[in-house]
Amino acid sequence: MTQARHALLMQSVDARIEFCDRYFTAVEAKTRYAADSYREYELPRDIDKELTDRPYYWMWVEQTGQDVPPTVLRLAFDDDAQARESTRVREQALAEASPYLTDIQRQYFVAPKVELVTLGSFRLDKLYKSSMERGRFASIAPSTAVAIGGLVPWLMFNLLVSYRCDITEQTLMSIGICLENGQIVENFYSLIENIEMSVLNPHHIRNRMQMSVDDGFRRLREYIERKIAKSDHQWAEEAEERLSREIEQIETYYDSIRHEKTETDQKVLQAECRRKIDLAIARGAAKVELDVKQVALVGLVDKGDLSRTHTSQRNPM
Amino acid sequence: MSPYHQTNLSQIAHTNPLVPPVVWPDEDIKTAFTAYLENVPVGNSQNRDWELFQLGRIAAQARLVEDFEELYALQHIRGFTPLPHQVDTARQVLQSLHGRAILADEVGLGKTIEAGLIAKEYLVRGLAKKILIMAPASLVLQWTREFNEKFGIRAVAQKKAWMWTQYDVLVASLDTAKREPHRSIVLGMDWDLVIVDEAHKLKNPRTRNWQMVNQIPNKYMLLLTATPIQNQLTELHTLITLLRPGQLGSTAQFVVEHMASKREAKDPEALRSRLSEVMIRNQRNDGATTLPPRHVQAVSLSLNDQERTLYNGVVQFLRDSYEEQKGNRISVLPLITLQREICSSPHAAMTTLLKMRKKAQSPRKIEQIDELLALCQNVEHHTKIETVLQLIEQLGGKCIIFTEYRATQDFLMSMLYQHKIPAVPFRGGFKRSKKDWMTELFQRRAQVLVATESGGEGINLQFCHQMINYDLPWNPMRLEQRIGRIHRLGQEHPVAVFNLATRDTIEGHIVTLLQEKIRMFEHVIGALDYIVGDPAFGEKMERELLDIALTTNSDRDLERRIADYGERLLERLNSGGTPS
Repeated sequence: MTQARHALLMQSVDARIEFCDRYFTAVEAKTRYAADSYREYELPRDIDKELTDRPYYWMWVEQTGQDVPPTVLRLAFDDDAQARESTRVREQALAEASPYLTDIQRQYFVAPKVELVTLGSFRLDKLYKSSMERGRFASIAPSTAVAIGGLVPWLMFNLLVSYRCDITEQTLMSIGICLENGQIVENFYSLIENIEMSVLNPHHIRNRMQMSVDDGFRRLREYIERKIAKSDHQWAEEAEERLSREIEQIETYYDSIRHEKTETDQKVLQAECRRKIDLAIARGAAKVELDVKQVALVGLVDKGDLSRTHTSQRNPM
Repeated sequence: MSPYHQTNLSQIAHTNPLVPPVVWPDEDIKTAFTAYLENVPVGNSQNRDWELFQLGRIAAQARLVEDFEELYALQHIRGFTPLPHQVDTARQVLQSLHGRAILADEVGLGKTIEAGLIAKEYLVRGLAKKILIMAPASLVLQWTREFNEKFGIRAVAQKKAWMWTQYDVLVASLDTAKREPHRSIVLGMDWDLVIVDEAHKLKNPRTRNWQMVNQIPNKYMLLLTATPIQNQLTELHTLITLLRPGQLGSTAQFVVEHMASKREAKDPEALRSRLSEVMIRNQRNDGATTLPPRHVQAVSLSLNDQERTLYNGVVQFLRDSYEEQKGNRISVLPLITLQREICSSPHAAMTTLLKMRKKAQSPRKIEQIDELLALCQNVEHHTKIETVLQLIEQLGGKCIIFTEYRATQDFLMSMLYQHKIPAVPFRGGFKRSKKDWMTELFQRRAQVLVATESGGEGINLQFCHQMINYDLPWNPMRLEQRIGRIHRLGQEHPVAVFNLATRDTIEGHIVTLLQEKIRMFEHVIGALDYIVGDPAFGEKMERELLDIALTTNSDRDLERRIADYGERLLERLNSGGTPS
């Protein structure tokens, strides 16, 4: 199983704020207010739908043709900010509404909610999902080179490799294939992630594509499968052993209580036994899941062999 | 529904036959990407695809599942620091038990915290989304509150059927969940994590409770109980069957292989090692959870003449009534109550006597009761209260006095008031907020807390380390619960427990029985809680003791019979038989 162990991203408050700022800018949400560890974003309708999880509300809005004001997300990134901004938001909202409220209404006034964004929070999870969905594909080339032309076409996969049994371990893998000469390069993403990129018109590099995108897909898949096949699968063997022991246990158990039962009960029991085995298999069977999360067509300046270029960058001699 | 593309890699790699199946869950991505390329927004300089691509990559990385070496949950808890054994337990469940475990810590060691840590860890890592917590109805709100406040988990108390599908983390009572329409909904969902609190209610596989839990589809499951075994070792087997059917063989095999008797394992070491694959049990006397020692002391006292006359009168009355009623199948409950009340205080006894008087049929009975009531009022000096006042003075510092009876509590409060000792009352009937308030008052202002019950979960009285049992519950478990209020995690001082034992009354003998004979106080729950955790046992013991009390004529006989009873009890406990 993979030994890679890198610190969980997004652990720091700063990392989460930066992520949110970048995300909301990218989806064209207005930042209405920003303070220490706190942001207010006004959501465009499509983003609102993606992040707030209220399908019935939207059904009602759209079917009745309502003109509803845009949702404002009030996100605090630590406890202090949440406390501080909750008070502020409440006072402000109350002051604005106050002239129109009766005493009773004022007493039961509900201020907009300031939510806390932490790891594992509902909102952050939605943001992850949205950015993974919206960031699935790209067609790009370095901004400095995109106009020049003569770029070499590469196809890149970012894929999530899940080693699944009763435990799960995952690793992200990035791999690229040159659609001109078939060269395959691992850790492709790390080579390009810091380059400023612009949109690449796929038609502009068609002339250098000796292989189609379809072929690229097939070649990358084969390469990955071979690589997986060659790696160490001790973990899977052990998992299968555990699983077959568990299934054996389940069967023995149900066999042993079967004789006490009537025929109808036996059928029920058999179904239950089957169900437990299925659950055990779903939980414990070893498999490798290769989930391509992102695909990009990347045009790169022709400097010959990419990996050599990279090596020389790393070790300037 | 994406079609699964599965490759059998053993065909590709002849060199490595162990390769597990490889799955590409998203076969459609090629088509989608081709379509994307057709519509690349060329010429749009504002295009954010690359920015979103980078964010998507960060998100994918942030959601990676890795091993459980580091518990990320620890960064998300609020307002408390988990104890080392709680963190270890959580890690062990995640790493070695793969999220299927019985958490069997002794009372007060924080099973809820452990379950919360595990749930949070799965949530943070995206391994669990749908979580179902089933607790007794009385604890539903507490679970909800703890998950929200301590772990920042958006748990909701289930109230309406529609809520099952609308919320991800639900707390419900098993009694509700097992009834329609809830039952079908719950069984029709795929739960990532199911937590069952008070899981000893699942000890019988023929009950609807057990069958319900057995049918809930789940990936991870935690069963929480302080008493995985109450009566028989087979109960443990029943619990484990919910997690891993057959882990300990069939019931019959289990009996043959592991049981020497109903209560005793053949080879405890072997059983323990098998159990360690599914169960974690932290005990107070384990190094990790060391508590300061407890010192238990009997405070012997003699009744004065007036009290003695009253006591003897009541006992005689009880014996007569018991004799009369034995044949008639009339409830002896009032008699038990009166017997115990008279040990507490005349005030307590008067409440029952007055009730009996209302119900009494014969003039003779009424006359008898009136005489006793007069004797109650005759008592001028109360030996117990005098002893307690002295004790409080000697002890200095804070002290909790426990009594079983409201009347005694009121009496104690008024006596303490007269002696200008600041005291606050505490009752089970108090609302949560009042309990908190009284606890606060006790901590900041008062010297004494007079309590009629152990106060319930979540009331922290660890700042006090002295307690007086003004009267004794005859049920050992209740006694342990009282002591457990202050002798628990967070207690920094040795705990002193004083049992008032009136010479030549049944109470004196019972103190001896519990304290010296079965060494109740030394076990600190430990081995005994397996057995006395069963409420039926406590009630039985109460009734048996009463029977002895009421069918014995002289005090010396009483002493001998209770001693015998203790002997037999001990023998049965040791041999693992039913304490009947």
